[in-house]
Amino acid sequence: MKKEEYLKALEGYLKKTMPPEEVTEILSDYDEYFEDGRRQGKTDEEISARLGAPELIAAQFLEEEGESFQTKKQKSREFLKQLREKATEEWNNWKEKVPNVEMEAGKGFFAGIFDTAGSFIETCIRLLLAMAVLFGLGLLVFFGAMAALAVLGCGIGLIGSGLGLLVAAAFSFGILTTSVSIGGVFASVFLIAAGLLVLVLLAMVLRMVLWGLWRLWKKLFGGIFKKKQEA
Amino acid sequence: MNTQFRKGVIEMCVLATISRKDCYGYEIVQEIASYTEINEGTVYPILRRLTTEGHLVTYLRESTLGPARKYYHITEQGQAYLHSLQTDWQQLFEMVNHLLNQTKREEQR
Repeated sequence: MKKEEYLKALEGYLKKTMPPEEVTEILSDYDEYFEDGRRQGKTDEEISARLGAPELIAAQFLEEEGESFQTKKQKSREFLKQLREKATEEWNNWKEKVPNVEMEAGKGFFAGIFDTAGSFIETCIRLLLAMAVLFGLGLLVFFGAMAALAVLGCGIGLIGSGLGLLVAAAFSFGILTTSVSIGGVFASVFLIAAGLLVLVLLAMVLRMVLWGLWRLWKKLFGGIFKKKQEA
Repeated sequence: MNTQFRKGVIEMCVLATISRKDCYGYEIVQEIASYTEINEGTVYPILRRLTTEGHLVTYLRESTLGPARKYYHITEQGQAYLHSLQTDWQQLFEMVNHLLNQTKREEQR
C-alpha cells in the first residue's frame, strides 16, 4: 500500500472510536514512520507490510486504551476492597469486645415459670419472687419517671425564662441603659443554653437507663412463656 | 508466544531501549525488530499508552533531514516501572528455568 492509501485507511478506522486530536497525532506519527522508512530505502509496500493491516493497528490502539482504563479501574477497585476489608476487620474486633446482649429465648432467670412440669412449691416460690421483683422494678420506674419529668420541667423552665428575659431585654433597649440590656441578652442566651443542655443530658441518661432496664428484663424474664429448658 | 505476554515483554524492551537514550518512533521499532520478530504496528500503541500513563514524555527535536521528529524520553516513574518489570521478568525466568531443569532431571532418572 502506498503511504497516502495506508494513512487514509488508518484514519477511517481510528475516527470511529477516537477523538479527532488523537487521530491527528497518531496519523502524524505514522507519517513520520513512513518518511523514516523511505529515507532508509524501504518502499511503501514494505513498510505497510511490516506495520500490518490498518484495521489491526486501530484495534491495537483501542485495546491499549482499554487496558489503561482497566488498570485505573482495577487500582481504584483494589483500594476500595482494601478499605472495605479494613472496615470489616475493625467492626469484627469491636463486636468481639462488646458483650453479647442478646439472650437466647428461655434462658431468663424466671424462664419456664408457668410450666407446671416442675414441683408445685418450686413454681409458687418462683412466682412470688417474680412478683416481688416486678413490684420493685415498677416502683423504680415510677420514681424514675417522676424524676425525669422534674428534670424535664427544669430544662423547659430554664429555656422559658431565658426566652422571656430575651424578649424583655429586646424591649428595654430604649428604656434602660445599653449595658444592662446587653447583659440581659447574654443572660438569656446563657439560660437557654443551660436549658438545652439539661434536656440533652436528660435524654442521654434516659436512654442509658432504658437500655439497662431492657437488659435486666431480658435477663430475668427472657422466655418466660416458654417451656422449662433443660437445666 | 502468547499475545499478552509478548506485549508485556515488548513494553519492557521499549522502556529499556528509551532508558539508554532518547529515541524517536522508527528508531525504537527497528531496534526491537532487530532482536525479535514482532508486528511493528504494535509498538506505537504501546508507546502511546506508556506516554499517557506517565512513564514516557515526548518532545520535538529539529532535524536537518526534514521536519521535526518526535522523541521519547523516559520519566522517573517510567524508570521505576521498568525496574519492577525487570524484577518480575527475572523472577519468572528463574522460576521457569528451575521448573524446566527439574523436569529434565526427572526425565533422566
